[in-house]
Amino acid sequence: MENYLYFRKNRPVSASVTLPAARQNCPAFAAADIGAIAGNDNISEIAAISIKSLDGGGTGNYTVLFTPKVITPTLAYSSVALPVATNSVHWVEPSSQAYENGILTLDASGAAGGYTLDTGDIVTAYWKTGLETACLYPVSALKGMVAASDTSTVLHFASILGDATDDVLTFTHGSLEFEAFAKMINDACNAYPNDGRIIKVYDGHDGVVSHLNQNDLSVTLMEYASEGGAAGMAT
Amino acid sequence: MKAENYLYFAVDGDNDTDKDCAMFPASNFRGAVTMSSTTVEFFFTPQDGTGTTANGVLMTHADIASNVTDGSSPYGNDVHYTVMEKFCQLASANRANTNNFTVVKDLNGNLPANEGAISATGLSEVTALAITID
Repeated sequence: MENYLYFRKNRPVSASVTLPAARQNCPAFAAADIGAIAGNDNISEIAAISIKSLDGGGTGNYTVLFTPKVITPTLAYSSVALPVATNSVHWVEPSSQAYENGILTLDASGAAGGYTLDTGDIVTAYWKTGLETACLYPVSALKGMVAASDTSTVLHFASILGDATDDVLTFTHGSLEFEAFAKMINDACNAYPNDGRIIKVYDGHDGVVSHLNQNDLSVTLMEYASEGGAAGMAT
Repeated sequence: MKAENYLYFAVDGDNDTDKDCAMFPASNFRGAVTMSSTTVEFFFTPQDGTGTTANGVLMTHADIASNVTDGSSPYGNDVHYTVMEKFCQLASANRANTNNFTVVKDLNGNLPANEGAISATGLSEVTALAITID
């Protein structure tokens, strides 16, 4: 019998950036919010994008307002310009935007569902459960762990796909908490020795981070670098 | 002899074509990863002996429709966790005096006359399967 270790990145989560100038490419989102920026290219992980106008200076095409309360209305867009006013909020279709290395580039208003941004506009993206958001490993796949800095610990698992490159989980935690982190992993691996259960080691669900041994250490962020990389793990 | 648990999967077919169904020892489970908000893939040591091209069973489950159902974000989805949790329960279910044959999901529609599924039909959250064996 062995346990199975479950990890979920900080998803779903939202992050915002403010436009420093009138341009379509946004500043990069903060790594502290969404994890490593390099290689963060998965637009399908973004469920919604909103733009809040600073002073009504932008221009948006008509779009069915996509309330964040409901995720699955059928969305429809047209090229009819919509009024943009101070502090107005409009939503654009994520799949028709570009996203690379944590940087969103929105279609301008000439495209259906596009929006021409202006200085001071606030762009907010909402990440959902998607490719490699969560993972599960048997304890026997754990190869070990190492401190990368006083606030960062790296876990190595045998590759799911089976090549030589490990699957790597990197955690951000409080200063000098490696020992407490190691005890947490030990507790996860050795819990319920006669059963074999799923152990939720780290869960960044919905902006509320939870993990084992919360009284002993504070883990705030998890990044997952599987052997499959950005191309995904799928067979 | 150590008892081994065997995990059975069958797609929505007739168990009569290539990769309609498969069985893996639980000890060959390598891990699972979410592929989207509606799919999670379970990986196993390959059956061809190469060890380098994992076999996989992609399971499809329901997406979240609205945040009013669980009071959390509209973009979250915990169904994948439920599927993973139940898989772990099944993978760890081998006990003495049982045959250790464990149906994770059986969608086979070609059942013998007057008989039910091969056993329990498995995880109720799973609506479709795809089996990859290279």
